[in-house]
Amino acid sequence: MTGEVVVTGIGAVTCHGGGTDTLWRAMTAAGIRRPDEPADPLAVMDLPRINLVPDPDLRAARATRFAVAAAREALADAGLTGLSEAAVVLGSCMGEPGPNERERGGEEWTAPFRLASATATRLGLAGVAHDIGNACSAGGYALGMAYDMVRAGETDVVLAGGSDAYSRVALGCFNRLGAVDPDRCRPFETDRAGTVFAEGAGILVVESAAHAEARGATAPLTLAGSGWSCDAGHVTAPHADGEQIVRAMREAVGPAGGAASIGCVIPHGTGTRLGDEVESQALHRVFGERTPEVPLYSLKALLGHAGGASAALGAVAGALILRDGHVPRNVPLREQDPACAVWLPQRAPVPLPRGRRRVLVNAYGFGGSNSSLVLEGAAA
Amino acid sequence: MSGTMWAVTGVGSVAPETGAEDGDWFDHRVRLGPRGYKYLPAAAQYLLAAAREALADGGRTDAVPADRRGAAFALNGGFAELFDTMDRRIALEGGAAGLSPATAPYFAVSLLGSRLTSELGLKAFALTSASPRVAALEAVEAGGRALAAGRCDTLLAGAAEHRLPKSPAGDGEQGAVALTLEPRAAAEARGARVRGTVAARSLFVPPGRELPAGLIPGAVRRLLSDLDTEVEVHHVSDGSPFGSAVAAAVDRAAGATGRVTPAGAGCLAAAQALAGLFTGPPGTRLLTTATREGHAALALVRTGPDPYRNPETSHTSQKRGTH
Repeated sequence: MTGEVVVTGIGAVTCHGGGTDTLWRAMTAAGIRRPDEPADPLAVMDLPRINLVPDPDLRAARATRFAVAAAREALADAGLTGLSEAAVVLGSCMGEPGPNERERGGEEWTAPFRLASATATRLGLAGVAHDIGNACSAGGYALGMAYDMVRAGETDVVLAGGSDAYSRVALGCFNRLGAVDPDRCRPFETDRAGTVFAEGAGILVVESAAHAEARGATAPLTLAGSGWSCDAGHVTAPHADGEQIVRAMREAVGPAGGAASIGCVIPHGTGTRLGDEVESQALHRVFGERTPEVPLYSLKALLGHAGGASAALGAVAGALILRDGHVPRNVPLREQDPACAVWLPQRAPVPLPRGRRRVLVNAYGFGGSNSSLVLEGAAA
Repeated sequence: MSGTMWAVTGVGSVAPETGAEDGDWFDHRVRLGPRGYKYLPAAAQYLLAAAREALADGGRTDAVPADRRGAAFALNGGFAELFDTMDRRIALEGGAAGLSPATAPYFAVSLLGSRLTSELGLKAFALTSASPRVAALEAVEAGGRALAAGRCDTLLAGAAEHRLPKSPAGDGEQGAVALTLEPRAAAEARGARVRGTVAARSLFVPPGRELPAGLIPGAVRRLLSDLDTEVEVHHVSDGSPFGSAVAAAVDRAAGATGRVTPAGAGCLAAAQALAGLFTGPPGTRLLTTATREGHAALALVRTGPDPYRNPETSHTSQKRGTH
């Protein structure tokens, strides 16, 4: 398992709209977005708040629709139109919940995790199709699986990422757990009060370097590392010592010098109190004295928490940062929690210095399911 | 053979006996312990019980440090009844405030194995596969790939399902299967009894597209070797045209006529068939499953003496086709 793995295409659907250009414009604008209220009269809960993709058809198979749109964009970005064989690996927290939830009393239960097969079918792709259900780290696990598949020589091209859409069950449960911020998603703020879910999909074309080179793909990014771990502890809370999320990060950044060359971190940070603190402290363990110099880009402050798609969207955002060469300023914080002593640039974009064109993306889920990955840009 | 064959050192399975009353065949207080399991979803209870059986059968996940112990679990409709109950409560019976805080976290299906990873200290990773009907074999495939990639040194692979709230296929499946996998050399080094070896591969063909001519023969060739002169084939089929086409193609490629058992609503039938292959007489067996959605998966199981092993060196031979 030694083959180099590259990323040749990216695609995204977010609450700001479809397309990576739309996402990048939102990232550079750094505007505050208030959550939506889904047009679902059966959503009987105190805080029916979620950042919805601007698509009014709540009855549609939204997660599939988002995944297919993002995948089409990623393939076009990679110059791989007309492809008939490729693997598809998609992570999701809820799969496609709509058919089982919307009508209440429908006649037939439908397997919710069929995003990969539905996407492969719509795109006419034969190969393999895996659905990963690793909660909010699912997209990170999917990208890690794609990394392993290419390195093992099982396939040359994988469409990998994640997609999640509005689920009444998920939002209701998060309400019951008291984990919804009534204001908006505000990771690392002092008075944050939980998170706000979001719809969206992020898809990357993950490819063997040899295959990409042979077809003349230009300036691909490198998927340079992937780490998985499990806290094996509490059902919802991360382990306070952060040991396993540190291990996932260290596996992703690689041995000696790996952390020193990271130029940006897209944290998991969802706005939950303990989660943001534990991740901040873990970053200090990974980066040591250099932590105050490592810019974080909080994608969830911009998009909300896209569940199983969050790591994939983080990877898309990381690719955009590497392509541009700058870390955008973050959505402004009212007051940063002193227990989260990390650098969230808010006034101006921060250039990625030479030798640090690597972005670390973190994702964590219920059950202590952790994943990290590193994207690397070509030398400036 | 392109994939590593992993040693299976423990097999566990829990399932209702024929004629058992629904909901009456599994008492978590008896099977798991008197306290602490009441609010665990039924599928997670089954999986935990199956894993304990696999350990009692000889699987030793604790033979390596906790952060080298991986987990790969599978389900399709395992939490569906729970979701349906919670959704009814939210939508029709007073709202989300009436949900039980003990069960609310289980909207995430990856919590199927969370108690298990906690009790066994499986910290390398916990992967949850959920593709329709093939998820159990995918868990073996993906877990094996993670072993090969160095993400762990030992693996607990499992699948669990629970009855469905509404299904034209009946009430769904109930029960769980667990297998412990590790490199054969490691198992032998600690004196473990190896029940057999396993490798799995999956594939996908969009519905409506003809099965590419070389696809199944290629997949079978990658699993079987020239020493596998006698192969038993077993199909778990959902009765779809694609499932039948895959079964026929596998039979042709393997030179055998496979027996067919019906798939259930989820991934458990294939998992149970896989577990059953480790307790039969010695031999080489190919298990396949395929679904109307276009998924297919194949698993090769060898029990009895490994034809590729050199008893003098106790190392796997490097003959063609072995790794």
